[in-house]
Amino acid sequence: MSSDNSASVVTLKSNTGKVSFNTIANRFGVFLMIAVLLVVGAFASPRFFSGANWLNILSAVSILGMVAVGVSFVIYCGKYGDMSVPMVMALSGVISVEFMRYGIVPSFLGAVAVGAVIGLINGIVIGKLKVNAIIWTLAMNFILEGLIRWSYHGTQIYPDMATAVTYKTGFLLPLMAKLDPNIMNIDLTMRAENFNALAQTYFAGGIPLMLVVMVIIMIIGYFIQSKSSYGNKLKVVGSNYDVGNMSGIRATTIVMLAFMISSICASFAGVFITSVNKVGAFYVGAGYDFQAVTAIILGGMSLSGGRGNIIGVAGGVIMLGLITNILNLFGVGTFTQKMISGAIFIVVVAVNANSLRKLGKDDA
Amino acid sequence: MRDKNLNSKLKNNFGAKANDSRIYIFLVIVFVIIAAIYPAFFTSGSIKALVSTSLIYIIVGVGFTYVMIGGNFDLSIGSIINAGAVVTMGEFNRFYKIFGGVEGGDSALIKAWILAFACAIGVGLLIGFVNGFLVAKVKVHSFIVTIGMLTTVAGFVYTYSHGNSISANTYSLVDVIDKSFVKIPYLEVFTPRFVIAIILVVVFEFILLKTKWGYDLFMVGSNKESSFFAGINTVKKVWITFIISGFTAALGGSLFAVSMNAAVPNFGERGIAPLMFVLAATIIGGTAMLGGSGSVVKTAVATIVIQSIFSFLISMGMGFDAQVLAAGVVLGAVVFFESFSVYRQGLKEGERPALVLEAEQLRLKK
Amino acid sequence: MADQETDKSQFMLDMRGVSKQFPGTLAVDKVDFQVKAGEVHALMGENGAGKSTLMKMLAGAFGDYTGDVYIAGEAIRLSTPNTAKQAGVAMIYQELTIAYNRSVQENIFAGNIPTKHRLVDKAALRRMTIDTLKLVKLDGKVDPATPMKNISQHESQLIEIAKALKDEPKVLVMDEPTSALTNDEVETMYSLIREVKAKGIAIVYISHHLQEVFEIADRVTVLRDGKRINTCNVKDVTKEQLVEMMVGEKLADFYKRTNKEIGDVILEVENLTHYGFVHGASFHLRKGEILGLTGLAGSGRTELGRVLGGIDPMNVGTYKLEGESIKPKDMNYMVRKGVAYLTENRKKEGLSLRLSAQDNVFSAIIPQLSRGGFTFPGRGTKTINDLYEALHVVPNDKKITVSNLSGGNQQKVLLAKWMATKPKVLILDEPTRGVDVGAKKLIHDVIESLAAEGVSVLLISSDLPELVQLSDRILVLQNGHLIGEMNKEDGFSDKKVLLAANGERSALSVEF
Repeated sequence: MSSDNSASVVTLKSNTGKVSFNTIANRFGVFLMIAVLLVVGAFASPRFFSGANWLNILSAVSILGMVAVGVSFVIYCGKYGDMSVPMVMALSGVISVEFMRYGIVPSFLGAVAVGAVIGLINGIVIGKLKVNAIIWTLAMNFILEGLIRWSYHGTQIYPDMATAVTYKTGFLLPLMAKLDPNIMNIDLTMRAENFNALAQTYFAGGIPLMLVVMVIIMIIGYFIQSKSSYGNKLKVVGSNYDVGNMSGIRATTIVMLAFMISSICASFAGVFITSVNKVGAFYVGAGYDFQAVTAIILGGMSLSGGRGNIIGVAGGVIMLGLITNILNLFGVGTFTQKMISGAIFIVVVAVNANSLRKLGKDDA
Repeated sequence: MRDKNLNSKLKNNFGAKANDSRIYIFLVIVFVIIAAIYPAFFTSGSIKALVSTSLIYIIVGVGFTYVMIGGNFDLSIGSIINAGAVVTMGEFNRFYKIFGGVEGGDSALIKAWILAFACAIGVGLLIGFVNGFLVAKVKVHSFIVTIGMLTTVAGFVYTYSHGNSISANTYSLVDVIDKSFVKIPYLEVFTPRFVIAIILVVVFEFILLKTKWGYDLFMVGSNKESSFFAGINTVKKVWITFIISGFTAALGGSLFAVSMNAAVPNFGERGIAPLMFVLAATIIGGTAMLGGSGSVVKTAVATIVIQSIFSFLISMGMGFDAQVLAAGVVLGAVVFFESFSVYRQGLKEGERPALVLEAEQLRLKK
Repeated sequence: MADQETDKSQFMLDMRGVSKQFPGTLAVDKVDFQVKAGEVHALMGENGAGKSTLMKMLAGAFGDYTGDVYIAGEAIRLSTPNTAKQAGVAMIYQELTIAYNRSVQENIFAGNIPTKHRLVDKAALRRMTIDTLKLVKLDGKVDPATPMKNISQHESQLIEIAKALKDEPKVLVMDEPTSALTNDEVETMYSLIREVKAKGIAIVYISHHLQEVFEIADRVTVLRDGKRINTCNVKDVTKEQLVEMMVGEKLADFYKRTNKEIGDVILEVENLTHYGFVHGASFHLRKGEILGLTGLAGSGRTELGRVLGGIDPMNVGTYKLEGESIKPKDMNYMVRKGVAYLTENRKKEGLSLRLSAQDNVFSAIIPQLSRGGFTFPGRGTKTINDLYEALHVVPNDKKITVSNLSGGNQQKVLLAKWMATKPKVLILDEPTRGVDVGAKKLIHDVIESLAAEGVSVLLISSDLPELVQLSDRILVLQNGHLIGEMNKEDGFSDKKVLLAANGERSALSVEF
């Protein structure tokens, strides 16, 4: 007994010293980096601190923010990432355009329902069969790409287009037209305008609707992840799946729900990005999978699961927005920006993994 | 009892053997079905086209299989292919100009091509080196490293090519690289690019099966810890697999660009992604998703099988988009069944051999 | 009692003042450790005493230890696994390091594949493998080309030993080599060890089991808190003396028994079957009873526990809890019904080592701490404080990451996790595996007081004294079948229980 005590006290002492430093670096690291970027930004341009520029920064990342909240659940769950996000966004966009002829609300509901179904499939396969999540979601991404392109013969879908051809091709349109031939006679101009206006809706002082939606999703996400009973279970399952399963938690269901949340968030993002682009196509979500993971890791969430929170993710999203904005202000091209953001990601992940490993904790 | 155990072991061995060579069985089945429905598929011309489309995936698949045998994934191959392609074309044009262009004659041409290839392969090796460093040495998960690398290299490719496709200012090599050595039907597939691919596949399969290095790599992929304690340098092995993957991906992209006389910065981005194709071929070819077993030859055969299915779909009048869908479904199905069989095996883990027979009888009684 | 020979040439392995520093702890502190040629030298100590660090040091896993190591009189720096191997150190780990999808021959010659003209010499590989298998008498029984996944656990272990012996090592280190073996297999292992010893190899034998040490070892070295406490001849010490060295304090009345009342039947199963694991098990458990469950490794002890806890499926059978017939469909359901299963595998299935102690304790009672979908950890503060007090978890910091706790305290946290669910039936699978003696005693006390409060306990344990002292009845499992039951009235003893587990019917009170 005595030996036991002294041994653990010794380990405690030494670890608390280092852990607390690392915790600070991990939890607030992203905000320190944001502070640095703010200083850099001040040098970049006098316009940097203007309200317009800030609204610009935030609205530019609001779609990414929605996606990142969803993917953060997958990473919190210890599953590295959801590579099906781009095509879930694309498919939701396409579906929302197809459902638009019933109105904005059905359009949203249809998109979210489709997202939920794909999340469910991902969740069942990954949760139950323990398929490698990255490989499976990658396969799912390819399958969805094939589905969208096959049903649209590789063409794009415009909200205001209502030619007879549209009702012969499409994802659900042919079926819808068959069930209810009347929809072919609906005047789409008005509804298409409403749909395209989604991305252009502003509240007091020019705050875009997308930004408001992102903030709401983040707040809800925060409470689910950190305060709800589901979030607490997710934490246990995410940090160690077997332990979760052996604690009377239905781990399979927990994992499944994480992937559903990810897909549903991607669906919201998909509707908005389709509205921004005024076109539904298979490529609209390209790159969001990777960017979301970048933001999440920057935000201090550990790839090994069960650590971090949405506040950090929000920080990571804002940081990516700042980097893009500052690089723009410096006049750096988009291609080079892509290269820089990739390099930042690699460095951050490597440093993160290295510091965790040095402390003797699990690596990523 | 002993005999029964032995019997069941033999049965298992037979099942395992069949599963080991499943790709050949699959090949035969696919060819028989195609022959029955669409005999014209097997003309010399379409075989040549089939093989020549597959070559890039066969070459890239070599390194990809190595990485997977080592227990990792290289998701950055798509970008490395593009990097290899644009660098070959861009550097050729640059060096050709330096050496005097048309006035420089054949020697300028040859020198420029050699330097261009060297640059492209150098870029591939460098990317593989960094991937390997981060995975093997810094011990970051290979998915994460290579996804990051995918974006970084894509950014590099766009920056390098300014987002445009690059063509060589001469057709000097296009005619050579895909020109048959012989004009005998069915032997027309023997083009220089084909021979390079075959040499790569044979050499790397030989290394796997016949050298100590290959045996050690299998061991590392199968159990890293025991390899470490057996004195195998696991870091170096894994590192080298990524370098090989960088090399084959860059070479594949480079040769592909030469055969097209054009390099695009986004090959496969709007079509069948090379990653999807190669991943599916490697898994169908029997390389274990968790590492430790696999074969370069089987990956190559699987590539031919998948490409045959695609070509067949085209022959049957299906569009390109149907092909994309088919590729996705094939990959999804393979991943699913592979994981499902692992899952089924997991359920039986720890089963008492002595009770298995009794359990069978109990089940029957019920 | 202690050897203080100074002539190093007489030792095959001679470690002098070796130390190894980890961030914050001195895991091995100036230890002298000497092993003669042809002797079995047991290395003992509680978890965290430094045994495994010392062993890894020998294996060459650390480049940065301090102190001197001599092998056969030569000074050697064991900086990499390769130098250790070349110096003549061979290791056999408790958890076998097998590459399951490679063949026997590849596993044996991993890193040492024979080559001819720079290519792998397959014929030589096969021949050498057969020669190697001869060392453990497996030639003719195992084909060198068989994949390891088709080889039994026992044979795998022998192959592992053959692999170590083939290099003609000077020092052979064995870590708990009998932990996964049946009794017959243990005997085979002992005779093999004696043969190896006769060849003049120095054997370092790491074990928790006193019995084994007295059976096989010549000398024993005890470590505590990273320091060497003593080295002595096995025949000069008693079990009590050894335990004292390991624990550092005298153990008064190690086991005691309180009187308590045993109530009505609370759990009753009939013909419980999980195909291929447990067949046709029928028994009952009463309120406040501690029911022991014994059986050899592989008899289906854990598997029975898992079915009862709802983790593995019950294919056939009836399951009655408090007279109500239920179907143990999953663990979640069983936990809510008041049946808790404490796993034998703490690190993989028991505790999430990266989370705090509090998160772990609460992990099974999240629904109880939640209202309207939100969790309020404050609701569990009293529960966890009470449990910490009852279990004396040290340190008393509930936010500390579990991986920073010692093995004994981790096990207490695991027990707290299941006690927090306020179970009616508590299934304990090896509740004191790998914990120090102090923690063991405390856990025993807690189990007894739980039973006194009316909790029914199913105690699955391979620790015979534990089973004998705590149980009111003992069920005996053999090859997946319950073969009988032993009653306290007929008297328990370690020996009797062991005989029963081996299928000796005369030791049973009731035969099934």
